[in-house]
Amino acid sequence: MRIRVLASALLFTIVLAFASAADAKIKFTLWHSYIGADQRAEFMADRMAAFRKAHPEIEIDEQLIPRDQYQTKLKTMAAAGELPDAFLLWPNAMTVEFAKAGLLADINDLLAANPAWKNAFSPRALDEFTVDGKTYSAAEGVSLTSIVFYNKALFAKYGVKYPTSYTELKSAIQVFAKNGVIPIADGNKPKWPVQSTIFSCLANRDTGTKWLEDAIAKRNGAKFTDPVFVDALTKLKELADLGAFNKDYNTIDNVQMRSYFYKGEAAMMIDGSWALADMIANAPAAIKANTELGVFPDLGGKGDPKAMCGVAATGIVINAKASAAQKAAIGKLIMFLSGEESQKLFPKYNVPISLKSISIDKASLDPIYAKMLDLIAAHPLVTVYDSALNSEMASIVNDGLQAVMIGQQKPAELAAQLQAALK
Amino acid sequence: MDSIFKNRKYIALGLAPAMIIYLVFVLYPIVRSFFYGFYDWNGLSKPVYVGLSNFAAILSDKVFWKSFWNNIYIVVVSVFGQIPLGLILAVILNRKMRGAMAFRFFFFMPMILSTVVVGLLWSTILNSQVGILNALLKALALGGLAQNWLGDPRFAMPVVGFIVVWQFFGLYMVILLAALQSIPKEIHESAALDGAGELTKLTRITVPMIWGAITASVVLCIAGGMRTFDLVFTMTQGGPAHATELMAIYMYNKTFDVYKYGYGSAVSLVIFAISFAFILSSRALMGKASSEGKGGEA
Amino acid sequence: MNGPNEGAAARKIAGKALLYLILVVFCVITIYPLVWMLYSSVKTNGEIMMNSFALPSALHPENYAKAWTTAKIGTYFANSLVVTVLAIGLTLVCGASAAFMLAKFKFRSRDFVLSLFIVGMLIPMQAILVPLFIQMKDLRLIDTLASLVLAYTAFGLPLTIFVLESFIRSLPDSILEAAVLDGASLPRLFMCIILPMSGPAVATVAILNFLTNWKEFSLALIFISTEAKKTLPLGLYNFIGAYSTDYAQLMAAMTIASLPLIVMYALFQDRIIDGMADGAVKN
Repeated sequence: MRIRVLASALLFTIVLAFASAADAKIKFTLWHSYIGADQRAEFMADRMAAFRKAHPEIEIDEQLIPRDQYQTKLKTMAAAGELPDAFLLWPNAMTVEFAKAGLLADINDLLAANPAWKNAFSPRALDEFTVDGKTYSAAEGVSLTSIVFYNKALFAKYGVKYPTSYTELKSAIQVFAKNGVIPIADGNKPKWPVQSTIFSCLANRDTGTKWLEDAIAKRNGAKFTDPVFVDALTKLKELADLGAFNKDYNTIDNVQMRSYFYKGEAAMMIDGSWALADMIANAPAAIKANTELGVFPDLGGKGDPKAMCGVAATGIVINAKASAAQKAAIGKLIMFLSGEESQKLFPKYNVPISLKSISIDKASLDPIYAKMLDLIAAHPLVTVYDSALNSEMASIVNDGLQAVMIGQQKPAELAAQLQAALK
Repeated sequence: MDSIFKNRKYIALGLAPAMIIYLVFVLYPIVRSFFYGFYDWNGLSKPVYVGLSNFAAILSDKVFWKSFWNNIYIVVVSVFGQIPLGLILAVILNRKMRGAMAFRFFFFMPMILSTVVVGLLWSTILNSQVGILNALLKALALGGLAQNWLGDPRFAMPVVGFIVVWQFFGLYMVILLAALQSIPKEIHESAALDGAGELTKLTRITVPMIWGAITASVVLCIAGGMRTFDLVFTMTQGGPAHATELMAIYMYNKTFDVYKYGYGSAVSLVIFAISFAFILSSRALMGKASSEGKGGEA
Repeated sequence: MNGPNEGAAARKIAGKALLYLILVVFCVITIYPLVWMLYSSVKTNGEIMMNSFALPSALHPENYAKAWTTAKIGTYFANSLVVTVLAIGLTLVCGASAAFMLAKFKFRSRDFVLSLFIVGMLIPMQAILVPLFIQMKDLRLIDTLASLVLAYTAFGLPLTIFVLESFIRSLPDSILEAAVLDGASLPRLFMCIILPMSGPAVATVAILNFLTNWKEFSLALIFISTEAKKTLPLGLYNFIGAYSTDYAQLMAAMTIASLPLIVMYALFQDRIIDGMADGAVKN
């Protein structure tokens, strides 16, 4: 009798073991936009393959959606209630919207359980994904947005020194313009480039970071209509009027603007670190040899003259409706993609890291990438306007900057419009 | 005759397949989307009923009105550009002339290109820094005429209008060509024998006989003009500074950029209402004209 | 010597020459983009960036092979073909029969029904993405080619019905009456008289639907997720990366994508022009 019971218990256990082994594969859907010919796409493909190899018990249904359509598709799915289990998300405004709607699961416990991983990050990588104390992702890199790429050969040819003040900047622009060289290559058709790469830094020089935080929070009497901000807008318009930019800057985007720099027709180009991969791959060697990286000149205002603008890159978030097993699996992916091992590979793909530091052999890096690392090390990062503001106000800024630069709106009017939109 | 052409059963059967598919996949979603117009919805959380406040906000938004007038501009340019152009080309190419086939083929080509190519190509041609149009003007010693075509608010809209006509005139040429085929040759021949000149033949015979197709083309022009999105979005994204903003772009930005899904739906309801009003009035106008001149029996 | 006839003949020739000149100029403006696309597709990406308008210094036809394989154009092409052809077939069948009803039959709600079909042409696609998606989701058609076929048919109906209706309406009633007197049944009327007589219109509508469906992008983006089911327009966007665009391969892919359209149009052009020599004339 005893043996019978024992035997059936054994059988039962074996069957149970098989049954759960068959279900042991954890599946989840992942959407991202790293598709196409650029290096981030290669990096992602490489890392996903490595992850799958390391975790055969996890099955990922990966969907690649072109960058330009990614947000449309994602938001349509959100509206229809059909978000995937894991997806790429932008920090700040977008994360706030999704989090406040209860669509995301936070990773606070994951961070708490892995302090080594958590502490390796530079603060921006986590802060920009944190809403009301809950963190939803870890950025897979930090983008500098206001790097001034300049062609030192052109500067030397016309006897121009790299500008260290507003006056010097203006005269540099005038010298170049007079000699038929585009002072600053720009492409603002999508409207965000000027805001992100030029204006955020320019304004910060004039107003300082605290003023912006106060203005948004409506405290200490700071308002967008304050002279410091209107002055920043006026300076931008002044630069445009001086002919600082190529004539077609409103009809090309920030990818097309690079060809002016690559052809040696532009003395400077202000773009983000995302441009590095493209530049290293496509710029002629002669141009690359003469390319130096600088920061925006000191305009003499309240802001830190050494600051540069930066923003966290995208990160993978977890759908609030995912099961516990899926959350754990996706958490592993997040850790894998943003952890030290993956970040060590960033330089190979010319993507800026989001860790505080990393041990890389400098000699193996492309010289331009190395110069960027030096910049990060020497300059504190301040926020970008479309990170600090909600999406509606960011949209007003983007549209407004374009209008101000072509004289369709006065700086004071834009300032007033922004202040009015503050809720 | 009436036993067939008034037979309810036949009518229902004939209409049924189209009606069913159309109802399920077009009408119902449209009505549903209008529904959202009365809500404040960011597309992520639960919608909140706000009655007519979206509509009030739309009607008081300067950018909306700018886009409205831009759409009107496109509709007018389309109707008075594409249709006459298509008609004249159709009439010319309807004859036996050398190369007619080739011309008919080439004039239709713009329709075939995707908006990405069209947008990309024309932006490059019109580029004020490196585009060949300005280079051409300078070479012809007309450098003074060179402009920032797409980047100057004064020229952006007319240029966009031109490109829209460029892409679609082939469509109307083809539709009207097909219509011309149904005019028996004898009619033109006997009119010529009676001493009618080209222009008379065109206005007194041809146009009235294909009036149905012309009316249909006008309706298509209006509908297309009000809905224009892809081409302009690729070229200018509605810029610079809303100079080329269209209602569909305005709607898209509000829906997908700033999370105002309810507002965006309200905009599409407004687009619909305006389009519908235009089409009704155009049909009324053209219907009156046609009841006098409509051809029929040979 | 120079009698009035010779003067008139000279004027005629000058007139014709002028006409041809204008037509050729039009042609150049019309065809240049296609030519540009073609010769850009055999340049390198670097060459295009440096000078968009220059002719290629050396030909690089390998762009086509790369576009075809790297972007799995073969699969996308096949999907587009299946969806487009099925949708056109369905649209023509449903649309022609509905157009016939609306054109020649008498019933009180006729104007209302026609207006209903016009409604479908007045809404920008972006506006109905979400409700339509929810609809397809409820019918469990998401991520199937069937969803595209049905959606394209539905959206192709307004244009189809509209154009066909106006054509059929202008067909002489006398022919129909004669046929009825001869004892023709309704299906026969439809198949043997109405359809053949509307040849040009049907061909026109077929081409237009082919164009629209082949190039359609928004719905395909939203409905289709599986790689293997994607249509061509989605595939083309694969070349436009976030930070750089491979223009050369993009042009090659677009040329491949345009070929069926060109072929279709060339084939149907004949039908439109010659197809109707028999119909309307012989009363």
